[in-house]
Amino acid sequence: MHISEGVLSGPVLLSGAALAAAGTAIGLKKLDYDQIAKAGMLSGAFFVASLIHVPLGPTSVHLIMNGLVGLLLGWAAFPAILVALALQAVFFQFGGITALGVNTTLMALPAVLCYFAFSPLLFHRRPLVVLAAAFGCGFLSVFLAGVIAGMALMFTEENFWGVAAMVVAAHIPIMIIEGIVTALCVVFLKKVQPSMLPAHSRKEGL
Amino acid sequence: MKRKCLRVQFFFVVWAVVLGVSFFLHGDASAHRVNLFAWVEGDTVWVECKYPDGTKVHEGVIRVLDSGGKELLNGKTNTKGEFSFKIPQLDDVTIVLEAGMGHRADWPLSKQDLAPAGEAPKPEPAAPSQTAPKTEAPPLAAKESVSDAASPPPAGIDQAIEKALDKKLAPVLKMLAEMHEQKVRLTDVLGGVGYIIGLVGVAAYFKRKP
Repeated sequence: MHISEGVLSGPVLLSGAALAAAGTAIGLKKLDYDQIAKAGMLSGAFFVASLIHVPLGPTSVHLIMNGLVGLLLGWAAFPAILVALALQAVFFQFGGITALGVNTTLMALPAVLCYFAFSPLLFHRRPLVVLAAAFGCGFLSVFLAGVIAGMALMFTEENFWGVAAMVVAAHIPIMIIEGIVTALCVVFLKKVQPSMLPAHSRKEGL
Repeated sequence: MKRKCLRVQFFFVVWAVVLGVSFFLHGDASAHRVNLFAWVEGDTVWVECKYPDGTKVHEGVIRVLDSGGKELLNGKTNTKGEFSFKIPQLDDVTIVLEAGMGHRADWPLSKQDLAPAGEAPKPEPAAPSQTAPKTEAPPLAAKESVSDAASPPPAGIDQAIEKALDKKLAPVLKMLAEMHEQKVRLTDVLGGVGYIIGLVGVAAYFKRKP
């Protein structure tokens, strides 16, 4: 899902960077003292998750974990993902420094959207709803990231539907895997460390 | 008691994840990045394209650009991730690989790379060269060999040496190609995690409660 350097045109890179900067500013503002350690852990998890790859046809896809990061952090997903992507760009040459803004936006924006969509359901009475919400969060965050990647690439490769469909289709297996991983993580955290899950959602179900 | 049990379980899972990741690293795991390596053999340029985990890029689009950014030729890699083309003209060229979905890599080849010393003596006897189409400026290597070679050796030997060198150097070039590939190393992973821990510290410092 990382878009390499030199692929996108200037305006796309700039608008991606602007969106990422705005998101990061909001995220840093909303990040309070108690959340810092959590943000760091998830940033580290995101950084390492990209190394777990699944070979798939002509290319290979890897875990992204932006759904889980978003679900647990909310707006703070922006700075967490920005840091992890910057380190990936420097150490592994995934993506690149100039494409950092676009890459941050395309992974963090769906994460935040999924946070708002799914975190209220995390403490629902029915376990099945919780599972479905967590799965949907992992699944949709990758799907939306693919759509945004398609939008970014549209300006260079022209036919949007072709590119977007290709990116999304290539990531269908990883969407399912992400959904399962996110669901497992949520179930596990609910048992072991419920304080890690977003606080405001706890009031709903109880 | 039950709570403590769960804690132990938690640490066990974290440990298992770390182990799992290092296992994947041993399998040269990596992700979204492509490697491109090109070398010259006689009048042919060979290009090899791989993902960092060793998977070959098949059906990747190769485009060859001249110094002005004009496209000279293009093509697709085969199932082995290889592509080759005859040197189109003596100029600084850039080979660009586009493997789709935002994957891109390039490899520059300078004029000197394209005109190795062995090929240079050919235009020397003022005979029209049959290989690479000539450009206005003769390659630098040609001038050097004019001044150096006071008694030029017969052309046959030259070509034989050239061929033998190509053959002998092929594995070395392959090895270089493999070394050039940037695989993910454990030190990088640990370094990155260290950075994140450091940044957490910085954030905690600035967000501390007075």
